[in-house]
Amino acid sequence: MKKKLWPFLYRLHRYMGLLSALVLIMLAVTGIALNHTEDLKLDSHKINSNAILDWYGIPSPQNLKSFATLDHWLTQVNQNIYFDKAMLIKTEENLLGSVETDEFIVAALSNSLLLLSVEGELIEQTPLNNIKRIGLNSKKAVVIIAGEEQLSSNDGLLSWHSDNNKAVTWSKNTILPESIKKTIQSHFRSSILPLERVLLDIHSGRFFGMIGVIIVDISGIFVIILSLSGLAIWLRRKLIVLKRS
Amino acid sequence: MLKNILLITLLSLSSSLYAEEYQNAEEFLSQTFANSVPKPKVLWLKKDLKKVAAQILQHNPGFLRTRYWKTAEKSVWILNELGKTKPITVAVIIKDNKIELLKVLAFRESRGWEVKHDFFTDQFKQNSLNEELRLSSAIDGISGATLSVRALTKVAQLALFFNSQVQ
Repeated sequence: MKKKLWPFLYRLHRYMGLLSALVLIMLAVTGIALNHTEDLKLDSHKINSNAILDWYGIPSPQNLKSFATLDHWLTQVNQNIYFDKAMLIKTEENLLGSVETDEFIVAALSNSLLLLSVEGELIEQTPLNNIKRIGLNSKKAVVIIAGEEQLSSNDGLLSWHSDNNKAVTWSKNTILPESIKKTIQSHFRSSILPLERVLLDIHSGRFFGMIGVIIVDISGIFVIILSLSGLAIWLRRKLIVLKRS
Repeated sequence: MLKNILLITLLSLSSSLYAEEYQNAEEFLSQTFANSVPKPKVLWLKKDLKKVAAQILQHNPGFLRTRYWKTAEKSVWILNELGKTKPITVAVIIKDNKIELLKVLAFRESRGWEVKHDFFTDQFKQNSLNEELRLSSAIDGISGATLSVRALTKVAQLALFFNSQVQ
């Protein structure tokens, strides 16, 4: 019995080591990377591989809300606001409309205004409570309804005046051109999944579903057995050497 | 009427952006200027200014103009800077080119909120900007709030730099 135990232990140690090596390497690599999440910017690096996004079941967004200015489109998809095809800002507010004057583009969010250059560069985000609508009056001044009051500004949002003018062209929802829509959908989809999430899922085995979790669990048990069998083998060899000497 | 609208709209840097605010901008300004808040002024970030601002922030500022409130004695700057993922709103009062007070008006992150306390922000008092655009005194960090500390330090540097441009 004793003669059979040690060869068995040697074989067990060898094959368990071989079987768990791949998983251990994967755990080590992902573990080291996750230990340096901030340095490696794993949380800000987003996955854009369609295969991985499909694997996670992340769909293309369909709920796009767009407003046209003279030559441009402001679009909101969840928390992202886009100027034409380019990402502008992230916000928790709702996009309510956009207008274009001779010098600026102004987009209204529910509690702030975005002042943009005509090239789409953000000049300033001005907080303003309870905005309901945005439009242009006949003199091309920006008009908003904030709370119960109608206000207008013709100096790049630096000052506001009470405005009773009824002739206002209010900004309305617009259907986005298909090419811009596709680019935004693709950008949004690839801005959701951080690399950190994928590495965490690979590390825990969840990336491969329940089977992955079970394999990682079994590898964990193998590591415990490997440690104990390795210790036993080492002690036995040490004792043999001591006896011989 | 116009004055009231201006006061409401321009000075009420609203609660919406400051969903988790400790003090709103309007209250802070009223308190700072003893209810006689000056009309806000605007500093445009032209090419050179934008370059220096980017150097201080270590990223593009993301805006082209900023408002400030100034009297003969002091200036007040209310700026936002990202902590880890969300902006921290910070007010800085500058007098004689030194920080008189730095206060966190809104903190939206889940970690690092310790930077809002006076024991931390008091370190910024009397700091000025040296030739390398760094603060004249080192700021002690807080374990677990590294990014928030870094954000507040950048805001302090930026406010001092902006202030030097409007003297």
